[in-house]
Amino acid sequence: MTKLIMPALSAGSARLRRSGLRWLRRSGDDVEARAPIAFCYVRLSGSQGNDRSLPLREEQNDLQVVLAPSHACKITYPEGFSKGGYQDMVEGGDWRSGEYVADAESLQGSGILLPLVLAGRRGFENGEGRGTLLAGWHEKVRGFWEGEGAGRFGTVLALGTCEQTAIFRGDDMAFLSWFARAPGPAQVVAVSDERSVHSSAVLLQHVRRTPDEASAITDAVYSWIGERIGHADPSSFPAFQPEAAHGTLHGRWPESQDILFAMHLLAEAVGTSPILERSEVICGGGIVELNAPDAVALTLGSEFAPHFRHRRTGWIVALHGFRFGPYIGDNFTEWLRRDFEPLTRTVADSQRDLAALADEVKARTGAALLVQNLIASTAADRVSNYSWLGDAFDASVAVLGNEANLMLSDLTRHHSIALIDSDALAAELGVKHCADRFHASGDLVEAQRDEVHRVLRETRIPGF
Amino acid sequence: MRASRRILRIFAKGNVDVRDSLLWSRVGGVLEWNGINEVIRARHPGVLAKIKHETCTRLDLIPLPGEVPPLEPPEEIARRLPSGAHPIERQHRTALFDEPTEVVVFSLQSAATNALVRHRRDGWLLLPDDFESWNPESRNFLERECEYAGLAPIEATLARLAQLIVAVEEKLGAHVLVYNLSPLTPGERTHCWLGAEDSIALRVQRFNLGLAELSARLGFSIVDVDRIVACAGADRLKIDLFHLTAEGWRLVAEEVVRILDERGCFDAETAA
Repeated sequence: MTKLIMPALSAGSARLRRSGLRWLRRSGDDVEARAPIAFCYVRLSGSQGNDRSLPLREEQNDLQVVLAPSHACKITYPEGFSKGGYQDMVEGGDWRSGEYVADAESLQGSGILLPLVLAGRRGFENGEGRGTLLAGWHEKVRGFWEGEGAGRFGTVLALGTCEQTAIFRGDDMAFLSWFARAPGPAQVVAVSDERSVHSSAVLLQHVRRTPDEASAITDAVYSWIGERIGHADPSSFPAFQPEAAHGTLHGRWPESQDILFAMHLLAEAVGTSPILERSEVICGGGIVELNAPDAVALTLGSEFAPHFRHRRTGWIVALHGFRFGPYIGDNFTEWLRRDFEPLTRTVADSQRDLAALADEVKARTGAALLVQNLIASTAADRVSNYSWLGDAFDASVAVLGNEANLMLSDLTRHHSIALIDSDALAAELGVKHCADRFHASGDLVEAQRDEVHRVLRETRIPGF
Repeated sequence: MRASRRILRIFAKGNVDVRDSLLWSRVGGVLEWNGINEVIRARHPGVLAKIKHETCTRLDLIPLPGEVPPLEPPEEIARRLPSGAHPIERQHRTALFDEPTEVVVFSLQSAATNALVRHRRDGWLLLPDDFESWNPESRNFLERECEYAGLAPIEATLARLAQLIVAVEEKLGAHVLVYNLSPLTPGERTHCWLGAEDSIALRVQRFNLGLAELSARLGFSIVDVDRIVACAGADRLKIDLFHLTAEGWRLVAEEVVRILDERGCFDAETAA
């Protein structure tokens, strides 16, 4: 029997405090190497009570440490170690390296648990969503681990759409699949597409944005919000109408959603581009500051989401079509119609912007782009005679998808872009594994993750 | 007494893909798939497909009606050198326009994958089929007299295919179906093409896309082998770049029948 103990983690001059442990496996379970058995919340606090200059300040409210044995074993927990309830969600004591946690049978290696640190930056800081791993909505999440590797941290940033959420965050939404396979020191960062889709056009504008442009965009958004607030008349408050006096199904103030969305869109546009954002990681020896990501994962699907350009400022936003209506209110849509113009993007536009983005990113941070191609084959669109498509030929999935995929292959010849061939992976397994061409089965996601991992290793991203 | 069946005449100009899906697929002497009539028998019992198959050295070598092949090897060469599945005296010829037929089937496979050699002095072109089995004398001749002429240029080949399709429709009034190819090669995974020529997989994708554009212009049908393989999964259907499993050939044959149905080729089945 080996004692499993807490690993060393240090926040330098700050105190590192933790909650009680919440078990992820049952006592008596056989667990694989690097399979998480428990997690806790952690928080940094300043010695003088001044938390303003603390590292990881923007992620303090959702900072967690996941613990896993370095090798396969059978685990047994001592009675009463986990307090349960809120004591496992709120920091109540100091992090103590070497603290006894559990017992392990048949462990071939060290009893020091490996830590995976999870950090979520909330889109709305006051929006508490504690409970499970990286619970709640975050504008940016990351997982990092020193592991048993040596050398510097390698960082991969995932900026794609939902298919990349599956690949990078995984079913658990907490990067556990990457923690299990990449030796470390490594970091995976994910910024999802709830606000804006990260096409090359959007990203290129963002990394090149000037303070004056940011100011103009902010003025445009403030101006529209001002209009909305100006229009708030008594009838726009369903909660206080006479018919609601004894109960109503109208819970939300409808107006709020449009304005909140506009603010989130603005916050992303005038905040730092994730491509340029550096990060801090908590390690055994203290806080380490990392450079901007070494690799940026994108998806070709982002290129063909609906794009809109603000008529006065030139600001480009890209939004998934499915977000209109259920997610984004009518007033915002009306603003898009009035103050923006639709931007129809061709394969050639995407080629130009991806090439420019790859060159810009290479020059600014040295990072390479990993671009996932489109799953062009689908069981749904069976076309045997393309003349029947008429004018719709150029926009058909089979044509656009294949043209875009060939364009991407060609780009890899001249720019710092690596191709993730999702189309081939889907065709190998069968497109029933991705019937709608975007949402893959577990088997296909695993194959895509393997391929991304292989490419990261081949491109020598440290820690992977 | 058996009712008479209407004959649907199909001229299939292609190699392993059209033969194994339309006629038969035999592996190690065992019949794995018995051809398109298995499908037609079930769906259209009054029709029997009669298939005339001719191998295709390369799409761009098929002569148009009345055209004299300009780059055909001399008869003496055709007699002297060994032939595999592509007899040298037939490499630049076709019986396609010799007899009436209702359906003509082509395939991109020869254009995408077959590399030719060119005679250094006279310029004639040849596919040295099954070259590994050639005797030393023939091999020496080829190496001495000929040079590598490479794969078919994509745009020129598709332009030639367009001419052929127009000729088939004008001279034979036949429906034209063209097989595309599944680009997947098991195990091949390239993430960067820096300094590399197109792989066969990329080349096939370019041909497939060009074929779709041609179909939009000319209105012929594509037998979308790429889609068929992708839908069921290459792991299950594909043996190598060219060969499918029996299930794969059956699915391709079913797609051919579906297209023929769509084109009304079976509408008159009860008339006979």
